[in-house]
Amino acid sequence: MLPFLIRRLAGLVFLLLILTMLVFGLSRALPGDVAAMYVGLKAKPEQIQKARLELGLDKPVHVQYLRYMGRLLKGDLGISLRTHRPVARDLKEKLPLSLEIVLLALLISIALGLPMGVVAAFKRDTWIDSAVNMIGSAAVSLPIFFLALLLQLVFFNWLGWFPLQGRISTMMEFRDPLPAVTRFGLIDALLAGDLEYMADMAWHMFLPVVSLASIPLGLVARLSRSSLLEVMQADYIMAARASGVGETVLFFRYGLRNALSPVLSIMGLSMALMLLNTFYVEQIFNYPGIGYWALASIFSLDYPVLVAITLVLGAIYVLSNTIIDVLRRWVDPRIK
Amino acid sequence: MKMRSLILMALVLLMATLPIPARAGQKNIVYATSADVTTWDPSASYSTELTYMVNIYETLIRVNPPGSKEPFSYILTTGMQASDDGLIYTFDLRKGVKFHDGTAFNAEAVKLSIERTKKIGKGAAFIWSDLEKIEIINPYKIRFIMSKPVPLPQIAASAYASYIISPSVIDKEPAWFDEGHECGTGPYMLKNYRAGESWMLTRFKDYWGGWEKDQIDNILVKISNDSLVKLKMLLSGQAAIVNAVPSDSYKAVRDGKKTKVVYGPSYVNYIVFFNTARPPLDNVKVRRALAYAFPYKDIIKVAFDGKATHSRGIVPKGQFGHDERVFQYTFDPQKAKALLKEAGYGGKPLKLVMTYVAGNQAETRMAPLMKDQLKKIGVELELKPLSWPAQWELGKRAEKDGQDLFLLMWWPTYSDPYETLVSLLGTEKKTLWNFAYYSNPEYDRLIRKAYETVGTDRQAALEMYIKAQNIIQKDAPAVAIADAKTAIPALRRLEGIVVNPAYPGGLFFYQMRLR
Repeated sequence: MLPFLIRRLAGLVFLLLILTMLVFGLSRALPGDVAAMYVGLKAKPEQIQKARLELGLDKPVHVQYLRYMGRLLKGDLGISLRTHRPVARDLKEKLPLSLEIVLLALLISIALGLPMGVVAAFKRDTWIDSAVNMIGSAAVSLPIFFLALLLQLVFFNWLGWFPLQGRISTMMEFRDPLPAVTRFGLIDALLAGDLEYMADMAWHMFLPVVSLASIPLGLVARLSRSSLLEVMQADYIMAARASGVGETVLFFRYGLRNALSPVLSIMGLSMALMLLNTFYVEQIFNYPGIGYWALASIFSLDYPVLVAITLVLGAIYVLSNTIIDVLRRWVDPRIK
Repeated sequence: MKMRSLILMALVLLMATLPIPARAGQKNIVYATSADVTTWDPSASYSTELTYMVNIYETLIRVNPPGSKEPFSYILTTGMQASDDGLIYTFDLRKGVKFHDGTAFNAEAVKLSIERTKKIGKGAAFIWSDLEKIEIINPYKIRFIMSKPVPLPQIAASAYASYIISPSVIDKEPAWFDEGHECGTGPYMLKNYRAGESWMLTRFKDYWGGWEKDQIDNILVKISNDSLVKLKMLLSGQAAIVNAVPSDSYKAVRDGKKTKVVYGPSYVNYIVFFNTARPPLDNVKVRRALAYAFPYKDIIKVAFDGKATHSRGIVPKGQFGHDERVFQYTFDPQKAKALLKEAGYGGKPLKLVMTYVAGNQAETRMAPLMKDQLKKIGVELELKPLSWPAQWELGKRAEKDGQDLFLLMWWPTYSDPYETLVSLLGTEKKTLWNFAYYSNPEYDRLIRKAYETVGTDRQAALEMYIKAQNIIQKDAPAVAIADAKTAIPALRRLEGIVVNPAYPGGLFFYQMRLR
C-alpha cells in the first residue's frame, strides 16, 4: 500500500507541475495586459508601468514562472487582479462551500443510486428494473444547467418550497455570522448549536445538491445494476448456487461486494465532474462557491485566480481518485 | 448510518419551514447587484465600488443632479471662497463631524487624505495633478493652492480620489482596506465583507446629518452576475433594489404592483471610434458616411428600451460642455451613400471590423442594428465581440492591423468635460483611450485652454468646449451614438432613490426611506 501511495503522491506533484506550466503559460499568452487589468479601468500609462514593475511583469516569462512557483511553495497564490485580495485567502473561504455541496451530492448519489441499482438487478426484467433504468438514463442524460433551471422553476416559481438563490436567507444574513471553525457551513452551525441557521443553510443547499447529484446518481444506479448482473453470472456464483446457497444470500453476501469495485471507480470521476458542474449550478443558484468565483474570474480574465482554481481542482481530482483506489483495494483484494 | 442521515436531513428541512424572527423595528434592505468591489481603499478606488464608497466616505462638496438650484451641496464644508485668479480656494469645514472610529474631522484630516491619494498615485489620483499645496489656516479652515486655474470644486467633488479618510488609518496600506476595513465620515459603515459574495452596510449612529424615521438601518449587498436572478429577487420581494436586469423586462418591472423603475440622467455615453490611421477610414468622407448611416433612433429603442438620448457630441447631455450648438449626425442613408461615392467607394464593397464588449447588454444589442444599416449602403461590418481586456488591448496596439471601429461605453471621472475630451480624442504618444488614433493640435490647445479658464470665466470656457467639439464633428474621428439614462429597478415602498449622474452607479442610501 505504501509504495502505491508514494507513487500516487509523486504523480500528483508531477501533474501539478505540468498544470502550473500550462496554465501559467496560457495566462501570459492570452490577450489582455495583466498590469492594466490589475490597475483597473481608465488606468494611466504611468500607473500601468508602476503595476508592471510591482507585479514583476517586466521580467522574462520563465523568471516570472519560477518566482510564482517559489511563492506557491509558501502557500502564496498571488493577488487577484479583480479584488486585489490574496487568492489563497479567498480560496480558503470559497472552496469549503463548494466541497460541502459536492460531498453531499456524492453521499446522496451513493445512498440512493446504489440501492436503486441493487434492487433493479435483484428484480431484473420487472417494472422496478425498467423504472430504475428510466430514472438512471434521465438523470445521466439531462444537461445539468437545464435540470437546475427546471428545479428552480418547479420548486421556487410554481411550488415555492425552496429558495431561489443564495447560501442563506437574507433575514439570517442580517444576524451576526457564525464563527468559522471548519468553514463547512452545516458543521459550523451544528458546532455553534444554531439549528435554525443549519436548517436555513440545508434548505438553500437542497436544489443545488440535487442538481449536482443527478448525473452521479444515474451513473451509480446503472453501473451497480449491470456490474451486479455480470458478477451474478460468474463461475464462483454458479458453483455456490449449484451447492445450494440461497439466492438472497448469494446476491447480497457474495455478489454485492465484488460488484462494488467498478461503482467505486466511477465515484472518483463523478467527483471531478461535480466540481466542474459547480460552474453551472452555482451560477444558476447564485451560490458563492468556487464555481461561481471561477466563472466571474473567467469573465474578468483574473489569471491568478484561474491558475489557483485549476491547480486545486487538479489536486482534488488526483486525491479523490487515490482515495477511491485505496477503497477499491480494500473492497476487492484481487486489485494490486 | 444512512437512515440517521435521512432522519437528520428531514429534521433540518422541517425546521426550515419555521418562521424566522426579524429584528423588531429595523429597516433592512437587500441590494442585488453585479457592482463588485475592486478595492476598498478610497484613495485608489476608481470602479464600481463607488456605489458603496459614497455611503461610507464623504467629499468636501458634492455635485448636485442637473436641474438643482445650486451646482453643489456642502458636505464636509459649510462654505467655499475662490480667489479672482482661480488659483486659491478656501473651504470652511463642518464642525462636529466624527469618523466611524470616533476621531474628530478637521483640516488635518483633509490635508492628509488628499496628500495620501496624490502620493499613492492610484485610481483617479491624476485629478490632483495641478494641486500645488494645501495649507491649514485653522482646524476648521483650509486652503487649496493650485498651479493652474483648473475647476477645483468639480475636482473636490469627484466621485473618485476625493474622499476624506480618518487620520487614524491614513498610514494603512491598501491591503488593509481590501480586507474590508474602512474609516470614513459617511452615514454607513462597512459591517462585514465577503469578497465577490456579499457585504453589509450598517448605520453610523453618530452621523453628523442625524437620523429620521424610515431611514434604512442595514443594507445587505448581494453580488449576482445573473440579471435574471436579480430580476426574480426583485419580483419576489427578496431584494428591494437591483442593478441592471434584462432590458426587455423593464416594462414588466415598471408596471408591477410592487415594483417600479426609477429613471434619471447619467453621464454614460456610447461612442464609436473610427480608425483614422489606415484606409478606408483615414478618409474623412468615409467616416462621415458611416456617421450618417447609424440608425440612432432604432438603437435607442432597441438597446436602451427608449431610455436614452441621441448624442450631440461626445460630452453627454446634462454635463457642462454639452450644448445645442454642437453639430449632430442624424440617420441619413442617402447622404451616407453620396459621401461614400464622393470618397471613391461608390459601388465598391467595403469590409470593416467593429469590436465591442461581449458582456455589455446595450452594445450587444446595438451592434447588429449598425451592421444591418451599413449593409444597405454597401459596407460589410464584421462584428467582433470581445472581453473588455481583449478589446482594450487590441485597441491599444491596433493602429495598423486591428479594428476599424471601436465601440466604447464611457463615463467621466468628474463633472467637467476636459477629462472626456482629452482622454478620448487628445493627442496620445502611446494609445490608451484614443482608439481613433486622431491628433489635432488646435483641438488639444482649445480644450486645455478651456480647462484652465473654467475656474474664472465659465462662459468663455463653454464657448471653447463647443468649438472643440465641432472640430471633432467635422473631422469625425469618432461619433457618439447615445447618452444613456440610468434605470434603477426597485420596490415601490423604497422611496427617495435619487439618481446623480456625477456619481455613476452611486446609490445614496441615506436619502432613501422604506415605507
